[in-house]
Amino acid sequence: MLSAHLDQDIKKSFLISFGAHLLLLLSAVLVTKFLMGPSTKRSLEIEIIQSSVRVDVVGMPKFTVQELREMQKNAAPAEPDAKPVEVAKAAEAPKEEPKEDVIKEGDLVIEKEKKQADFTNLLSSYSSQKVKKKESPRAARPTNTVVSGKGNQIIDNLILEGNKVSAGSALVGDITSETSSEFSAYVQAMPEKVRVHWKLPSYLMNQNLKCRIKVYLNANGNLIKTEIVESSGVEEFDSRALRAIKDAAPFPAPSKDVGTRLATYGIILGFPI
Amino acid sequence: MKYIISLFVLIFSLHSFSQEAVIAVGEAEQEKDKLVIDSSETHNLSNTQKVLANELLDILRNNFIFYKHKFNTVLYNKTAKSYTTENLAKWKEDGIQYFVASSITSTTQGIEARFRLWNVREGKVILNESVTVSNTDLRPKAHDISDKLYRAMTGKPSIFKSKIVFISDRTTKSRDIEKELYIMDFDGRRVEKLTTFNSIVLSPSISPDNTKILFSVIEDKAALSSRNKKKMIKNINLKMYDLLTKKMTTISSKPGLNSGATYSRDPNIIYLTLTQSGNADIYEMNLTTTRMRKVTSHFAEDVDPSITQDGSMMTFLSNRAGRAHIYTMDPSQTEKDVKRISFVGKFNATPRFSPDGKEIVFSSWVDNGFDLYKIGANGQNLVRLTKDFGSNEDPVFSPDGEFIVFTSKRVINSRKAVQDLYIMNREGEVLGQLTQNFGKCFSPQFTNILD
Repeated sequence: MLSAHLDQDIKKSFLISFGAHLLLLLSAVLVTKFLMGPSTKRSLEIEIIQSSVRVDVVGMPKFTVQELREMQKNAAPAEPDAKPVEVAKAAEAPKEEPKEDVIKEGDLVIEKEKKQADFTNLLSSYSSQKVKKKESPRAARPTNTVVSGKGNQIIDNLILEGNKVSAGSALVGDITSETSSEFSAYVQAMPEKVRVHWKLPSYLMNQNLKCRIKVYLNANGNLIKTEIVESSGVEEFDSRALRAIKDAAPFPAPSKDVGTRLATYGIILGFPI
Repeated sequence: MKYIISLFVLIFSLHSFSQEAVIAVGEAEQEKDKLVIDSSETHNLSNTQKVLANELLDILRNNFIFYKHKFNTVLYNKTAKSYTTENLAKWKEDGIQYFVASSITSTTQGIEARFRLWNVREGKVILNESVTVSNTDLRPKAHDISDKLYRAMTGKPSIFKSKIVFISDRTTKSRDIEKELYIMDFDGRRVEKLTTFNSIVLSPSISPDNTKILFSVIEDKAALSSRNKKKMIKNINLKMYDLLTKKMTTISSKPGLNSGATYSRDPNIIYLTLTQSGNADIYEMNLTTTRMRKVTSHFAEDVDPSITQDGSMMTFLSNRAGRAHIYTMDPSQTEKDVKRISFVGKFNATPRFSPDGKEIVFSSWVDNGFDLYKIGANGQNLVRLTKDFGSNEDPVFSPDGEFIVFTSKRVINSRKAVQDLYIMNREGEVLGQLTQNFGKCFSPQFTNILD
């Protein structure tokens, strides 16, 4: 009688224990699934972080500095009409406010063929999460048609050739948002365009002068306005910096999000830093 | 309450403003200054003196053509010979930034030349200098006045007074190759032979005060064979040549390699490659005490050190990653802050720092020959400098950082090749050939700017 009672107690305890373990297991599964988030999201986060990492140079440059310069010179006349004359005129107009160089949006000549879609693609490839296959050098090699509208894109590709970066494997970097990565990639490409036009006479070189100009762009990459946020104190220096920005415009058409941010808040370009 | 909210908004706005990102455009490219070195006012000169005067002006003009990335040196014949301020408007109108007006008079030994350098924009004479010149000292005097003109215009020293030490095999007569040490002006003129070892001289380096040259030489050394018999073996010894006393001293003759020595900013401290521990490592050596300190300590081969002018960083070549790649480190301690700089290239060689320590120029094997490349000391901004210009090696920056001198080899046929020294600006624009019909030239090194 006693042993039968004990058997029942053991069975009951076993069932309770089994039930408790099952409950614990279920809880663990549910907590993992709902509270800690789906596993796909975690891997996605890792991918985004990975895409922000740029590491090794993967090839020696094919072209010399001199060749790239020559190509840039040749490519420049390809888009003379890409620099709207109205921009320059409007930019020099407001004499009352020399510190703010406003360009009326209505004055801008926005032509679809001047959007430099190829360069935009290049920027997109920067911000995309997967690094595209390296173009073969033959494909990137310029032809006699380098002075066509695609000249700048070809040159930018060539500059990247040999200095190309690839997504890294180390989980480092602080860019966690796709949008900020795209914005960052866009604005980081801007100095390349401006630097070609950034020239100073010898007496202004090595003077440790610095000015900072806020640049507002519209959805087409055209200048909305420029604003000197920090003057060098030397008018010629500031005006040379402004001229470099105007000569570099229009910039590649940004994506919608980046465009909105640039039109609303602008971006500060530092001359030289 | 309203004020507190306003204050909060203001502080927040200021904070937001201070957080705004700035994208650096970088340093501007310098526009060229139009420079005129005018034909001189001459006073009662003989024909010989007129020739000397013309040669002097030609050297000045030729010197400034080296800096053609900074100056557009032009001939000008519109000026009234009085050189008054009345000319300024005309010069300005013609886009001239600097005008060198010269006046030459006769002396018993040769000529006296007075140069007045006008800063046209500022409308004033910024240098007024005279120099007596004879046939024997024409070139050094011309380089000296060129340097003064350059300094007045740029505020910086030029390379006009610099010399280049290099090695040539021109004295090779038989199968035994001979390489000796030579020194010449920056423009390849006035070449002088420094050594007569009838052997092979390697890797020269010039002391910070330009008085001594370190180099290695292959010499016979007595050694014991396995049967305890005396025999002569070849050893690469480190020597020092004093340019003032013309004396030669042996610095290191340890068994094996004593080579690739380079001076630090302290004339008593040198860095060299030794193989005494079995593989090549870089050591620091005190020339006074001969005390050695290991700078690199790795099972791989570490060779070819180059030190920044402030001595804070060293670049060297190492195969610790499998292939010969460029590394930087802090040479103050062993293996301190070693950082790999190059990640590509089949075989990289001779990394050399720019004087400001911001760039490294090196050669890399590409398509059956070497070409020159430049990379930032932080490993960024790799650019190519030469292409389709023979096989280019041994690059070295000029002491002002504006030029790179290098060797370029052309294969004539299966038995013959020429190798000369060339000079290019830092952007890879080749300016000219410095040596010609002078055997094969190697390992150029610039003297330092002293003042």
